Amino acid sequence: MMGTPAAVQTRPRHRQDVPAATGTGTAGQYRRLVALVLRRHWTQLLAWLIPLLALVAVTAPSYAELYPDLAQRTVLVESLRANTATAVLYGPLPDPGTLGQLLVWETGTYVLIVGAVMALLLAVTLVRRPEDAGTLAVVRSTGTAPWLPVAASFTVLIGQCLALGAGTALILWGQAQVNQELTTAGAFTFGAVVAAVSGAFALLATVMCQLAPDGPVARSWSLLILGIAFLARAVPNAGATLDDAGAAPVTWLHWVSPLGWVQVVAPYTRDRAWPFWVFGAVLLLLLVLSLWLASKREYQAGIIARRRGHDRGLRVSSGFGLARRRGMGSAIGWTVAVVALGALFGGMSSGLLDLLTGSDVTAQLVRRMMGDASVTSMYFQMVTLIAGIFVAVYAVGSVMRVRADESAGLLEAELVTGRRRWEPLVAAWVAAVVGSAVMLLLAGLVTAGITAQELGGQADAGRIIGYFLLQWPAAVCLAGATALLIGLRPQLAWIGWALVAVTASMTWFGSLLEPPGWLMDLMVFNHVPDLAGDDPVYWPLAVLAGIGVAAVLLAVPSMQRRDIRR
Amino acid sequence: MSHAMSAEQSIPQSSSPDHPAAHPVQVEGLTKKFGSFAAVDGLDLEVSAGSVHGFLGPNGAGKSTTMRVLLGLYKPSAGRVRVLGKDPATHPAEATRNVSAVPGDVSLWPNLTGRQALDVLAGLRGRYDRTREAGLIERFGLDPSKKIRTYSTGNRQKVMLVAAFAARTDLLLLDEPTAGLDPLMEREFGHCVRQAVDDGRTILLSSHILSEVEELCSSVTIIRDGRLVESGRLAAMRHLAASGIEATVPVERADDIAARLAAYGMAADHDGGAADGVIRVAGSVDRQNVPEVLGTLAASGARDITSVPASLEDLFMRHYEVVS
Repeated sequence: MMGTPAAVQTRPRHRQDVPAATGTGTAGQYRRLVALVLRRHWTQLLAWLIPLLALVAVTAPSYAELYPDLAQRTVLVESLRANTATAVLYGPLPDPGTLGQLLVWETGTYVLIVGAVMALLLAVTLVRRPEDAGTLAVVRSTGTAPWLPVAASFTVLIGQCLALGAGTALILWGQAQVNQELTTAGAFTFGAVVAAVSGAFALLATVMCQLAPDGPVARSWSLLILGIAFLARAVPNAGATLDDAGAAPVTWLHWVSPLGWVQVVAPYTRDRAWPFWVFGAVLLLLLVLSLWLASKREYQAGIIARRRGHDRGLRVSSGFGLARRRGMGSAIGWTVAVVALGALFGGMSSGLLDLLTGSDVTAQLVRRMMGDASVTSMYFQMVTLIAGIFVAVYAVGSVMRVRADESAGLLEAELVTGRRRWEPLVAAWVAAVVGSAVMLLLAGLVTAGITAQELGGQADAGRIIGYFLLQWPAAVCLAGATALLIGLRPQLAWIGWALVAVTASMTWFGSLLEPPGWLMDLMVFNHVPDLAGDDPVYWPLAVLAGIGVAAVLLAVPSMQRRDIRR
Repeated sequence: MSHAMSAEQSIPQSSSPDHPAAHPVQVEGLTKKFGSFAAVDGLDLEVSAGSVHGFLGPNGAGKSTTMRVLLGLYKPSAGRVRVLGKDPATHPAEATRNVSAVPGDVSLWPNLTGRQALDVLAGLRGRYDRTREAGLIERFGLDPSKKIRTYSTGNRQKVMLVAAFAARTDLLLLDEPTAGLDPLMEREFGHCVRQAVDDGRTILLSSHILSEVEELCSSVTIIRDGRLVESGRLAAMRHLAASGIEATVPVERADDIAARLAAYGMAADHDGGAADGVIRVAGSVDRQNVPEVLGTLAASGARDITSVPASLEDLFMRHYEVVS
């Protein structure tokens, strides 16, 4: 979306904008190329960096405000430890649950995962896309050495990872000056691990860029690696208990998965420094591997060859058929991700048995407070919220393709065959909405099945499937809003992504900020009723779905009114 | 919907000069503004049924903008546009249902093969001519089993040309369609254009290559800076362009000769000064008067007489250089 050629030409700028590097030698060329990459992508770089750093900045102060001293936090820490869902997601919360430990455990996990997504998407955008789009050929034909544009892209990519780590470290160091519970060592250890983990995924993605035949394939492979890395950390964390020192245990899987590295160095708990030598060596190895592979492959091709063409035809008789055919790949990918997520948490649900049948004080307390039904409900509400966010990302991404099609000229190719103006947009929305429903249903069925095996009679299959399906209206709504934005002003389509990011983060982290109720009501993921409650309220979900449908209906006339541009 | 459409179709049929069958493309006073910039400014364009109409102009003249208005992609800021009797601004789907379009810069779905892209384009239109398509694939030497992503510009263009010519449509809107083609393929393209005309189809061919238009088109519209420069039958415009004649004449008779040539409508200029008692005169004249002019010159003792049919190139250049 942000990397489309149209983005470059939006505003005519003065020549001074690309700083005139002095000298025409290699150093000058290198500086010019770095400036070119920054000029082209600075919005995207900041759009990742600023929200992530803002999240880091607000976490510790809001914890400190809610629970000023450690003693008050005991109950919270106990209940968080007792929650199997959080254990799978975040791992065991180290003792005694200081501000820093809580921050690294919860916000830290989010920063690491989103930072990894940022790193690998940027890697593909910076390292592979210029080649696929042909802009690299233009740069290469100006008399620059072949390695120079590569060096410039890697500089910006690794610079972004370092900026995320350094920003995190500086913010937390600053907060350590004010709050006694935070430490300088913890700040810098965590900042370093953020840089190392995002750097690892960035470099892994650049390796994929050399292996894959083109950028989109490299991106899919990189995301798959991220999913596996998450599993490799979640599985050993699910049933783990703290070691004698009160830190989360470290298994070989934590070394293998970059997402597990944070547990190896244990910021604010152990603040180990020596593992960074190992991480550094791994990063260097990946860098060398990537550059070596780059030297081995053909221009605009991967080490692994593109599948040869074939003679199969394609029966398509409407924009709906085309949207279904083109969306199939991403729908299958997201379905696998959402079903795997459900299966993972379903498989880990046996941890709930301790709470449901256990005799220790926490279990009895939790049961008395919430009732048996609510223990499983809370677990699956959390799991399905993640599934719901995944599905919303899929749905918005599917509709957003119409915007990319328009700037690529594909929309006009489709329209001038005598199709109605609104058809591609509505078709993309329908595909997104149907795809979302299918993947939620599948994930619900698989999760319910696995949970039934783990929990036996304690699992309420209908309720589990229900929690998955109730995520659907949010996806319908966000996909509709995105369609309307594209219909009204395609330049503003990015707001669709912003809506997903803001509503997802606010639902997940909103409690940290204690926002007013009306604001939380605007968050589309916040309306799933408690099915274990006496009288679940469904009408807000109906409103959400209604908004989605209305937005698409409004997008139809606006699509007919405006110019179709490249 | 169907009632509204049939009503709309019946109205133009009652007034015979506007009959959509006679003029598949009718544009009157078309203006398309982007902000304050008028890419097309008061353009008139009329394409007769069964003709190949050239649409000439330099880069940035507004040819593609006009084409995109005809295809219903851009909404006109002012003016009346009819494509096959329909208004593409309000009924883009109906207007383009019987139109094949080839854009100047072809974009197709990168992860589909050429075969699949052709299937999609034909499938969306809902009509298929398999045999015609197979013949065109062979004619253009296209390998449809490869993915679009791996195609060169020329090959993408071929896919689009195959789709356009194979479709059962009445009107072809071709926007600089030969830009990426090699000379052999340009020849095949010419063949396809003539075949399409024989089949009774109408073609609007935008180009900045004169030889192409001269070879293929029967009439032409020339635009510059979004405004109409000249429009008409190519033969008539060639007649206007006339022949360029040069000759070397004795200095003492130059004025006399010039006066006699002026009678045939030739304004003869002295080219340079006199040398060795002779002077070079040059000018252009209607083609029908060429024999008389040549006869006059020969009778006057002129030497080194040349007569060259002025190409449309000259006309074209004049339009873009003089009018400013």
